[in-house]
Amino acid sequence: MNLDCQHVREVMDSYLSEELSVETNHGFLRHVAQCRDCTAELRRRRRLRALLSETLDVAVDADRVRARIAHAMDRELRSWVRVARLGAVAATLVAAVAVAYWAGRRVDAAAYDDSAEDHIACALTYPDGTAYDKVRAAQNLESPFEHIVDAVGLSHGLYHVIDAHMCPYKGRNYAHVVIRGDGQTLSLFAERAERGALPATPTTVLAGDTLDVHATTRLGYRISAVATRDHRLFLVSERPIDPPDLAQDILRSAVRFIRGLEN
Amino acid sequence: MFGISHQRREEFDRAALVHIPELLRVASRLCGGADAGEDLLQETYLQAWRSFHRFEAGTNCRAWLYKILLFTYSAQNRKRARQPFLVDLDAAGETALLVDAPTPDTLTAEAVKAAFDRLPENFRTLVVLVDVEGLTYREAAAALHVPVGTVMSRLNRGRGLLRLELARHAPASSSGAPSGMDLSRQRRARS
Repeated sequence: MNLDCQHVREVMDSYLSEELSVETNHGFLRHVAQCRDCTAELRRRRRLRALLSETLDVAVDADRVRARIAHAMDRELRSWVRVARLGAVAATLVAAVAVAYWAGRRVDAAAYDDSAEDHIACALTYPDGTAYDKVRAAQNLESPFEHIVDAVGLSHGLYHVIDAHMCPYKGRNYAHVVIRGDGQTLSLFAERAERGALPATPTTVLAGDTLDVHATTRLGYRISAVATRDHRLFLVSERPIDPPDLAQDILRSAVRFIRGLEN
Repeated sequence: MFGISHQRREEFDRAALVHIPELLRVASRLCGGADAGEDLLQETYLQAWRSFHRFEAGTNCRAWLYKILLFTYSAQNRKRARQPFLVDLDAAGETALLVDAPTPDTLTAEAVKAAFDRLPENFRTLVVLVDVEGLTYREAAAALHVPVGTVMSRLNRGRGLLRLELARHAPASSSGAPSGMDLSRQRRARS
């Protein structure tokens, strides 16, 4: 390869950095051997590099810097350990506050008893043969529960809604849906959650849903309760509803309605 | 971070701390002084230590540390300037390409240092890495996270600018022959 001066100057630094291909390297050396100007320029560039290294040279103490870096790393590690310890303390405090809050939260201790008592006082007094009257129900329900019967449905197998009304009881204001069928009377109560959480009970979960159903027995009546964000729902029956799916259907449709109100 | 074991620290020491002498030299050269170089290197190693879990054992730790060093250096410069680091690389390099200045005959350390200090930072970094520290183009490209072609192009411009600066401040009779202007004319005539 024959290189002219211009080309040799262009690749001269790459030659010094040993980055030329073998072929270009040969051509470069051949040219430089015959060209006094390029030989001189190569010498000057070598000198430039040497001066660069020399002028940029800084006296360094690597051992001292190594110790300094190791010390900084240790300090950082210790600070992380401190953060971890503080984090553990903070987490413990948060947990303690949460437990205290849980223990100190308001509980609506009479929720189940009141629903059973109102069932006895109200639902069981309906005479045989009572039929659902849409106009009467509309007159006796209040906002926001006017459409609770439409949401729950008038009939569920052997069970039929016979009335719905607002039912004040011991300071509560239930929306009360009375259902009758299969030889028993059921009550579906909905109320705003103003008295605190439901008391703890053995809990079952409705299949195919995310509802926590609190099931208990009070005054001889079976009560299934569901807590939504702002409301409580109670389904009261004299004996297990047959089939069990039916109770789930009634509760689920009522919960859907209530959640619709909340959203 | 909490589970950092003694063994992990030993791994880091073994893989990374052995490069301190070389990186300290580079850091000091980039920063123009030992103190600033030590600070830069300490920050580099702390960054490396924090992200050591991302380092793949068996890969090139030296190249990884170079990357962190150059990134940290660049970030510090930006912070110091309190504005984005902007260099018109094309404009700066164009001058060097148009006038291929020959290296002056009489070179002094002061003149070289002064010319070097006048280079834009990106060119300076590459000149240090390749012409002073002897990194290959490929190693420099990996450290700066740019293609090899970019390294070659910037180096070409940086070296050209350095010679140009030296020629501008050199005594009139000290330039080698033929002159850079002559070579530029020769190149234009050839093309």
